[in-house]
Amino acid sequence: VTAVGDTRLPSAARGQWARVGDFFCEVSHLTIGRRYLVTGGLFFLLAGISSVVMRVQLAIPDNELLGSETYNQVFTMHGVTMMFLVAIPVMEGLAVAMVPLLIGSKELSFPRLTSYAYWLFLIGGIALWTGLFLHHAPDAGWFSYPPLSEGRYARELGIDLYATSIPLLEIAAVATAIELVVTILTHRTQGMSLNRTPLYAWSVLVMAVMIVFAMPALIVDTLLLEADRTIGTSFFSDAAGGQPLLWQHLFWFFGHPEVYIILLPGLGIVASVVSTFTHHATPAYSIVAAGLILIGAVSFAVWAHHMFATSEPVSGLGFFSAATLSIVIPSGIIVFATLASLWLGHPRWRVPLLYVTGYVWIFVIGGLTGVQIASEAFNQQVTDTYFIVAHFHYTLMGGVVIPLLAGIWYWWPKLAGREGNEALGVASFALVFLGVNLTFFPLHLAGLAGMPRRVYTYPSGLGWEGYQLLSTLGSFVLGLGLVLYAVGLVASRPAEDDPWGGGTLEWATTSPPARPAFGILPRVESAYPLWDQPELHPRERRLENVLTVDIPITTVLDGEPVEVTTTPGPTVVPLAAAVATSLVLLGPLLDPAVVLLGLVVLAIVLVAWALERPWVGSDGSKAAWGAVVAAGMILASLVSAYGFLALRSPIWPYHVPPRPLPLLLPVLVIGLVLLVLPLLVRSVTLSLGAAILLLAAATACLVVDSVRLDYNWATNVTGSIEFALVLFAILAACAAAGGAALALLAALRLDDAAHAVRAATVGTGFAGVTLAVVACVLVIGSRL
Amino acid sequence: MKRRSAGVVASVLCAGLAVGCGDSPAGRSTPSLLDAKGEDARVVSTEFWIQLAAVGLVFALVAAILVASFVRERRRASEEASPHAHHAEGVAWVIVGGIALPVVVLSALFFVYVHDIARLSSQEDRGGPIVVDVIGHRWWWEIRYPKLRIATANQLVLPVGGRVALRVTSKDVIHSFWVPQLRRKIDAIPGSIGSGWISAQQAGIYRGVCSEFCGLQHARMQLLVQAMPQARFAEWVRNAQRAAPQPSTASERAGRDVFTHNACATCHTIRGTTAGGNFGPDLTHVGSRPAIAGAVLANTPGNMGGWIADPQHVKPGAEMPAVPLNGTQLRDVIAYLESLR
Repeated sequence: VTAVGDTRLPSAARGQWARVGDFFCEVSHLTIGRRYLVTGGLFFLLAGISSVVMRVQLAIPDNELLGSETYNQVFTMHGVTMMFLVAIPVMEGLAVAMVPLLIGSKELSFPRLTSYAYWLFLIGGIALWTGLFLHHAPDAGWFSYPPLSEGRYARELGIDLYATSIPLLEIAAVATAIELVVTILTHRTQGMSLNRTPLYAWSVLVMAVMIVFAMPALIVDTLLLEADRTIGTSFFSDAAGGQPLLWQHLFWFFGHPEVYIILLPGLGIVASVVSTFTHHATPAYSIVAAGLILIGAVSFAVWAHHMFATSEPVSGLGFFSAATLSIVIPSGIIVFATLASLWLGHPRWRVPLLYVTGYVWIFVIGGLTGVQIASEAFNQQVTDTYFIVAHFHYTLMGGVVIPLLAGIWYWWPKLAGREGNEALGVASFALVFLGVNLTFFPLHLAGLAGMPRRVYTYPSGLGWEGYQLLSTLGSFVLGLGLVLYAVGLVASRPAEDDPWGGGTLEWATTSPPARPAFGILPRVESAYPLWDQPELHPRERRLENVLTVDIPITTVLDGEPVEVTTTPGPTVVPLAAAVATSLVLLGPLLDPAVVLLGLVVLAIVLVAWALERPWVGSDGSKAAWGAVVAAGMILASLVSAYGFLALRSPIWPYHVPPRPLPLLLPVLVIGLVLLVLPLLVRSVTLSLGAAILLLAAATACLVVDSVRLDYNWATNVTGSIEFALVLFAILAACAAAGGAALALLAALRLDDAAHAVRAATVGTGFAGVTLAVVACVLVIGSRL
Repeated sequence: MKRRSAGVVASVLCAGLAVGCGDSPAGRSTPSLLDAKGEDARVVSTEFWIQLAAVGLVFALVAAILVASFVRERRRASEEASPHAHHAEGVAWVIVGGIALPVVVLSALFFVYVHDIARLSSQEDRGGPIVVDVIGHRWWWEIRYPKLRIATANQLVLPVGGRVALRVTSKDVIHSFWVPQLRRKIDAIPGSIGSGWISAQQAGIYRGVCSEFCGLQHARMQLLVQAMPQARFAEWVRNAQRAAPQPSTASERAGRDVFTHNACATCHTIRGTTAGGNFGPDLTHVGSRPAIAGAVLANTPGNMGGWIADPQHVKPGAEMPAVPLNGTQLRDVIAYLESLR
């Protein structure tokens, strides 16, 4: 057991200027989590207002309140905001705030990373909304299918904002996801083996793993779109051999898991609330946990059910129908676990549990219409109609929004130190429940009556207006309910430490939790330690609040402590890194030179980041694996895109000669050598030094090889996809070389740099794989 | 569940009543997919009712448990009661309700789904001898009968009972061809062709829409499917194959000259005249069509005049520009176009 690293305390005295900048330097999980929730709440308000605007427009036929230009921006912003600025950030933010308390940890693994992600989220959200206020918001739907979103048909700023902000937001989502995975795997308190981990933490773990696997496809997709729009590549444009459907495959590979990504933590919240308010341990804990994992896994096999009407060869086999249906089984497990607790336990109908009944009713209806549209034939009838609008609003209101309302009320004592006003809460539940059903149920019928979605107006006399009017009335009821909910949270009273009699560790902390929330970390012996170990209960013995930043790192399976780490103090580095990243990604909106400037600043800030706290624990090398998985999904997306284009393009390679070998074979060899280098060379310094040189050589080969070609990214689709692959390989090589250089520095300066070296080796190994794969694809692909 | 079935029944009733009102030119009747009039849509509407019965039963069960646990005599929460009591019962609930029940229901439904889609797609290539190319444009439908050498727009004519083979594509962005009462959607994707067939078992006019978001006037991109008895269809074909009729009045003649000497002719074709543009709809028999402007306006002289005089007012963003014409010219052009039957 070693204890090295930064010993600054979060509240220790610091210089004058630092105190002024406290707001921008904050890294504590509870503060960042609260900021996530507040910012997400504001975006929820904006998205809610835009939905009411749409409902008013659609209340009567042939309404001329909004023109199509405005309506298209409003409905796009509603979807984009709810998906990217509300659902994911709020779910991640709640997890950032609550997960450490549930697993008995004083802090997250990498508080600076979460802070960085929060700033990125804020910047990306502001960038997107700036568009609407300039009347140039994205207007091609949250799905922005090309060619509609390509430069030929959407010349305005809007789609550029979409295609640059989304990658920014997704990088933020992936960063926080890696944070949550590593924290849950390594920061659980002593004795909290995986089978004693609260189900909410399980659901967050699965959500975060899914984010790491799913989001990179969308990052790739949106960046390719922006490249099409700004530098003249032709990934999605059929004129130069591109394929509009490539976008849809990548989009839905992300897009369907996305739905389950935001659903899973909702299910975890429900499990927490139900067990507390029925005083009943979740039945069949291991089956429920397995159900959460199954949902996550199967959701990656269902994306093509969004494309049943495209005549893609994936349809007609029944595979995607079967996969879509099978995902209902784990959802059923979780619903029946809830029902069993309600029946077998002792329900106390407080506000959070009332919301859970709303979840059961609404989510089950959404799930059952999901069973209906799993049918390929029925799906092809109702896709892109109001039936789908009704379906997914039932699943998302039932599985995401209502569980969040339950969870925020439930955890308000920890988030704000207060207990919501019960009467207002009950009234808000009644209105929200009525409002959701009134708003969305009639839309099923509008869809069955043949009404397509995404229409800014509709003719009278087609039997649609009654449903639309009801829905508009319902949206006001729903809105009023949400307002009452917010008032209920504000008009609250100071909360006791354990107002609900919960069984998990967050109820052993004060309300609001002290910093740090735990002193000496408890040893737990059950999944509900506060119920089963009375000595832990705050009533019996306030957990001794020792001001220390030492945090044990525990084993993944059994939660046994193996080493001690510390947590970094306030720092401005995350904000600086977020600004630099934004320069890189939003740069194309201003000038390509801004991108280069951003890259340079980012490199400098990342070095400062590493030097600020050079010691890396075993959680650090686990995080490196997380980053490599995300980067690997980017590589996989690009290689899949290459394969898809090669298969679909009428001529392949598209009017370009086969790529010459002399400079690509060395790249292949270097890639393979990098993989085995740490095994061949014992000396850490020698091995890292050699890796840096090899990466530099490979980069040089790729650059020279690309420059020698007589075609480029703008020539046609082959040039475009080759350019993307080469660019990614170069970026991976540079990042890995940078990591290796920092690890080399740490190895020279610190006694114990084993984990830093391990993390860097993971990086150089990945760069090796990337170089080898890219070289192979370029050599073989153009000779097919 | 009761509320839901009641609503569906109501919607079907509405649809039925509206259909009873007859084939109004603008297709103003509820295009309910449950009021199926084509072979393809009938398979799906039958499937819908089977689904509804199955998921309705499941929902009734869940709702009953939920309501019962809420209203039954409250069991007093007891601090002494172990939160781990009733463990075996809880597991049984999860296995019976969460695993066994969905496995049974979903397996049965999956059988129906595969059966239906297999039935529909095994016949996918068995369209009739008539082939129709459906080409999406922003924001209108180009309809061509390549073997019959007919070109029209926003109007798909087919014989009652016969299958017509469809080849669907797009000239610009992605659209989707959908006639709810007749068949499922086929996406219109630039650079690729989606195929299928369509049939109507009853004469009438059926409303079709673009159902993939395609930009500013997505909401107003429609077409009308006219199902005619065989004899009337044959007559329509013979007429549609002919070149445009010669103008018979002075006003019509003047209208033709205005049309062919102005910007109109650069975008539109009228076979038998010098107008040969291929950017907008072929207008050779525009006078015989039930509707114009992406089938959002009934084909009346007034609507025609309003559309020509100010297309951007009718459909903001439409590709058709306003061509400056004086009152007389406009009247003549309307007279000429309405004469193209």
